[in-house]
This record gives sequence, C-alpha cells and structure tokens, in this order.
Amino acid sequence: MTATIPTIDASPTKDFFISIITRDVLLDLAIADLVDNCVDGAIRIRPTGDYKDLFVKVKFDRDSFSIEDNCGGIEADIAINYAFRFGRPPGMPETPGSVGQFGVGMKRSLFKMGNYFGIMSIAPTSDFILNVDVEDWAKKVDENGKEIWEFEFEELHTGASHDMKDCGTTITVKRLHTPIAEEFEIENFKLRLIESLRSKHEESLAKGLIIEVGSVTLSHDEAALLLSDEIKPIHVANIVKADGNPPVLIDIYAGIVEEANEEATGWYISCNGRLILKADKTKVTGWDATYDEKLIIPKAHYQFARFRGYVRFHSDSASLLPWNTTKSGLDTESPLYQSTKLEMVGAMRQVIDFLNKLDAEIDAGEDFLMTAIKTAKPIKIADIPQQSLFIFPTPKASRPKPKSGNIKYSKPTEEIDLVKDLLGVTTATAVGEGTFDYYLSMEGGNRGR
Amino acid sequence: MAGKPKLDYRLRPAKSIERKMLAESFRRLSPFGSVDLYRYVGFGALYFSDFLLFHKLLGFKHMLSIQKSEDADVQSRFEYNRPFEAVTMKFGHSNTVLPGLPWDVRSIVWLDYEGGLDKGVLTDVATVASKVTSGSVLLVTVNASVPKASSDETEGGPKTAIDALERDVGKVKVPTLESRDLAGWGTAGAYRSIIDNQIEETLKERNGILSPGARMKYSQLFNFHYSDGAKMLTVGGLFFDEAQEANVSSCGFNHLEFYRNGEESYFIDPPLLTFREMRALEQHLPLVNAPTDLPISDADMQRFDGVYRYFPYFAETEL
Repeated sequence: MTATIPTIDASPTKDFFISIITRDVLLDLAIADLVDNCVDGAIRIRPTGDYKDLFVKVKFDRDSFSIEDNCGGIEADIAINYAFRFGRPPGMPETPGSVGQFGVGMKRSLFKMGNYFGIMSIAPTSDFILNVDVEDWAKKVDENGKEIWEFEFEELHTGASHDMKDCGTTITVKRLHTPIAEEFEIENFKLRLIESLRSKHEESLAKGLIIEVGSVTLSHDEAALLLSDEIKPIHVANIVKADGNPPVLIDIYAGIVEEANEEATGWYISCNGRLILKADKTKVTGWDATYDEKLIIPKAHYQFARFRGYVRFHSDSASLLPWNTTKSGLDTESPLYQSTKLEMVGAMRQVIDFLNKLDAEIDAGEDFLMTAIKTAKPIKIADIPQQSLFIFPTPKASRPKPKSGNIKYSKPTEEIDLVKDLLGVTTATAVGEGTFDYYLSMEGGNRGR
Repeated sequence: MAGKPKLDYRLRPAKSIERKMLAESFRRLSPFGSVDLYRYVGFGALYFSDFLLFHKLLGFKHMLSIQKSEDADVQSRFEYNRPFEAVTMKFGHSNTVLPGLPWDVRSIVWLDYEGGLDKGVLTDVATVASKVTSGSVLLVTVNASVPKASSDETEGGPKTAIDALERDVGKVKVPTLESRDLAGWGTAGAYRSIIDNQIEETLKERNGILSPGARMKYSQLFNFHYSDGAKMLTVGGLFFDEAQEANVSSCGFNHLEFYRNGEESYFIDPPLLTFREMRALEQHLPLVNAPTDLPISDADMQRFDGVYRYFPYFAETEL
C-alpha cells in the first residue's frame, strides 16, 4: 500500500468573512456599498440613465437598519448562483457600467452591522424572502465537520410575472452589534452618512435617483466650472482600449470656480458615477510635490481654493477601473491611474499658474483677472467642450517693478544708539536710511546719488 | 599652459560648437517628417543664439522661446530682440508654460538651463516626456558643477555633496553614490542618469495603458560634456513610437561622431589656436597625415580635426 501524501486545507472560514474583512470597511462606506447595489439595479433597468421615480430609502435606529429600493429586485437565479457568493464567480452576468464589482460589498456590509438579516426581493420573473441568523449559520457543519456555506430561502417563487414598478429589494438587519447600534444613535453619524452618500452618488442623483436617509431626501450640486469667452476650463477625453476588453473612457476636467473654498478645493475622482476621492489635495493626485513656493504643484494653500479638478472613469467592465475594494480610495499603482495622473498634473499646473497670477494681482491691488472671473458663468462639467489647455486672459501690461523696497535687519540697541549720535538722528528708521545713503555716496560711484 | 594664448574673443566656443553639432543632427530627423515643420522650443534669452542658428540652417517656421520674466519692461525688451517673425515669446516659468503648450506637433525641445539639476528641471523633463509625439527630441543642458554643501554646518544645510544633490533633486532620485563620485565630471554623470531615470519612469507611467507597438520609447543621442568656464552637461535623445523603430535607424544618428547613447560622453574640447594656425591647419583636414611643418602639437591637431567643421570664428563686427 502506498502512503498518500496529505493535502493542505486552504479553504476559508466563515469567521474570516464575518469578523475579519468587516474590519476593513467603515460603517458609512458599508452603507454606501449597499446603496451601490441599488444603483446597479437602476443601471440594469434603465440603461439610458434616466432614473426618474427610482428611489433608495435608508432607515436606522438603535434596533435595526433597513434599505429599500424599487430598482428591479434580484432574480432568483442570480440569488441562487451569484449574489450571495463571496467574490464574483466566473460566468456571472455583468451589469455594464456597474459599481458593484468585487462580490464582497453586500455580505461584508450585512455582517458588519448585525447578527440577523432579511432580504425580500421582487423581480420581474421571481420573488423570494431570505432570513439569515448569522450566528446559527456560522455554526452549521455537515456530518464530516465541514462548514456548510449555503443560505436557505424562507420563500421562493419562480416563473412569476411582476410589474416593473413593483420590483425592488428590501434588506433589514437586526440584532445590531453594540458599536453599530451606538453609532446609529449619534446625530453626527447620520449627517456624515448623508454627506458621504450625497457626494459618492452625486452622478446618480443628477440622473434623478432619489436617495433618502431617514426623513432627509438628499440634494445634490452638480459639478460646474467657470466658462466664458476669456476663461476656458480644461477637458481632456481619453479612451483606453486593451485587447479583448471593453474600453475605459476617461474625462479629465480642471478649472476654477468663483467662490474660494479651501475645504472643497482639490480633485474629485469617480468610477462609473461613484465618487471615490473627494476634494483631494494630497500626493495621490499630484499635489504637494513642492520644492519652491510657487512652482511645480504646491501644497494646497488658500490661494488655490478656487481650483477644482474632476476625473471620471467609465467602463462597462467595472473591474478595469482603478478603485480599491471599499471604494474609498484609488488603486494608485494601476497603469490606468498613473497615466491619467500625468495628465492631471499637467492640467493642474496650468490652473495653478493662473491662480498664482490672480494672487499676485490681488496683492498689487488690481482686478483684471478677477473681473474675468466675475463675468464667467458656471457650466456643468458634462457640457464643457474638449479643450486641452486652460485658457485665461493675459493682462496687457504686467505690473511695473515697484519703485522702492524695504530693508529690515536688527542690531544691538547699544550700537544703534551710537550710530544715532554719530548721524545726529533720533529714530531707528533714520539710522537705516542715513547709513544706506552714506554707503551709496561713498561706494556707489557715478551710480550713487 | 604657459605660452598658450588665453583668448577673450572666443565667447563660449564649446557652446557654439555644440549648437552646430545639434543642428547637423536635427537634419537627420527627416525620416520622421520634414525638418522645417518641426516646432522648436527653447530658452532664447536676449541673444536668441540657438534660434538664429536653427532658423537659418534648418528653416524652422515655428519657434517658441520661454522666458521667466513677468515684468512688462523686461518683456518688451525680449519682444524687441526677437529675431524673426517665426519666433514667439511665452512668458512664465517653464514648469507652468510647458504643460500649457499643445503637444500634438513634432518638437525639438532644448531646456538650456544655467543652473544645476534640480526638481524644477526634472519636472520639465517629466512634462515633456509625458507629452511629446513620436519623432520629437528633448535636450537638457545643466551646469554640472559639484553640488555645493553648506559651508556653515550649524545652519542645518547639506553637509556633503551627496546631501546637496539629494536636497536639489529629492532623495529618492539619487543613485547610490559617494560624494567623491561627484568630483570632476562625476556630477555630470550622476545628472545624466537621474535625467535618464526620470524619462524612463515617466514613459513607464505613460505607456502602462498602451498596447505594445503604440508605446513611446526614448533613445539617447547626445551626452556632451564641455567647459566654457563651468562644467556643463547636455544630454538628450529621441522619442519614438515602438512601431517607428525603423525610422530611428534610417536617421543614422550613429554615424555622427558625437553620437553617444549611454554613459560615455562626448567631450567638446576645442584647442586654443590662432586664426593663422587654423587656416594653415585646415588645408590638411580632414586629417590623414598630420603636417610636420606646423608649430602645433599633435594633440591640438587631433582636437581641431574633431571640431573644425563646427568651429566658431568670432570677430568684432556688427552683424
């Protein structure tokens, strides 16, 4: 009999999904992930991008959390074969342009919040109810002691026919983890969540999607940059096409807004309509490559508070886009982002150049560029024509050199008093002027006075 | 050195030779397109020496001079000295002007700085490398004196030449070197590799998303060392699409005597000769059998043989 070599068990444990990877995601991002699923539903049923009458309602208190949408529901076969798998199985039908892509968001979010969740879905040809007691599920093993990973439907109807307007998904989480329940009670958490969802889903809101958090319906400000005959923002549109993959469309916008706002200045980067980076002024987007106050890309100062840059990545295949799994940051090492960053830095430097000139103009008490800003109008970035250079008016005559300058230095009081006596003056200013004039007349030759 | 003439009529002769050598090599770009249609971007200063020579020899119709000054009086002086209609002035720091230029035209860009290598220079190098089209040439000239350590150690400034180099270009860009490696022409060597590394890094970022064949490559053509007083380095080369690699070989840059595609430099080292000596010597050039009847050393004859076609003849005259 030949000895069999034992194999090594590398299978994951449920605990890894329940308690480990949930640490990687902040609560507001976990909820944003659930909203992403709703948005993907909207993309699926309204590929034209008109989300009128579609809604996502988020509610929570210290006992429970729920999210309800009318974005088409989950069909039974998707639920059975794909939606609850950990990771995205091959063969899963892709939603072109989707924001959910890693097959980890929904489960991670639910495990993060509580020990019990229920999902009720009505889709065009099926409906189901699924309730999961996470602690029970975690303990389930087969007769050989192997973990059982399956969830069981409470109810399942296939071959049904539902009107699209009735289709949607409702997810409820109960038996919340204590820290989560506590967080849900804090008003500031709610405000932070509202702001987070508002900015992350700005592009979906602009398409008409209604997102409610408690009793608050999210508003949105559509990104806009100043445009006029004299001031023209940058809009570079690139298409990256690799063999066998759908193309990635990249739109880069850079320009200025009228109101200086230090908090809002920076880069905004979105992938398939989902904001990944907001008002970024770090090395990630090329800021702070500073060596000299005014050159390269300086640290963000108040004088740059009018700068705004937007990068919008879009692809039918979400996996090609440069985002990380929590959609809270960029995959900065992806070639796609690295080449885009080169463009961003070039664009930003042109706008910074303008803002430096504006700053110098303000110091000089003039208003040529400011007048140009005031006469320009904000235009939604989707309507900005392609333009690879930042256009702004050049002041006809730049400022003449100042005719006089100040010199400042300090010397021991005793010595200053001595020179006062020698010059026969009484003030330190007169000492400075007197000694300067003396030097100039002695050493200045013909050039002196 | 005793007895050799120290001539003050020769204004930066090596620089002048370099300009002519570059002009000769630019002619070879024709496989990429008509040379007179190239755009020339340079720092013309008040004298526009490079602009004058290249316009006359190569017929560039589209030349752009970048000048830092933002003062109206100084600007009008540059405008006044602009030698041809073909020359346009762009006022501002090169760091901000270069990204604002259109880059869809084949270009020869000569970033001719007076100072040493620093982050500002590398920023310009990165900008050009990230934008140029195939067939374009980038040249960078910098002062390659040993980076100065701080004389006053209490100031907290750089203590060694390596520290000074790290301060100038950023610690991460400095190759593994010791301060003594920067002595003599060592600084020029270090500068060359830092510039080369920057181009390589930028191209990697630019190329990551491009399919093989469409990727941009860089091939060094020049590595001049010369000294008209201070030690100077001019390094540069050609950018081309992988698909156009065949064009590069048909340019035949490698036939140029001063072609250098790596660490090895070409030293522009004009001999000090009088006009009478030069005229007498020229009858024997290109040198086959060195004349024995001239009071010139063999070494000087060899040096003159290498550069006489590019040799400047300065005279005190109104041109």
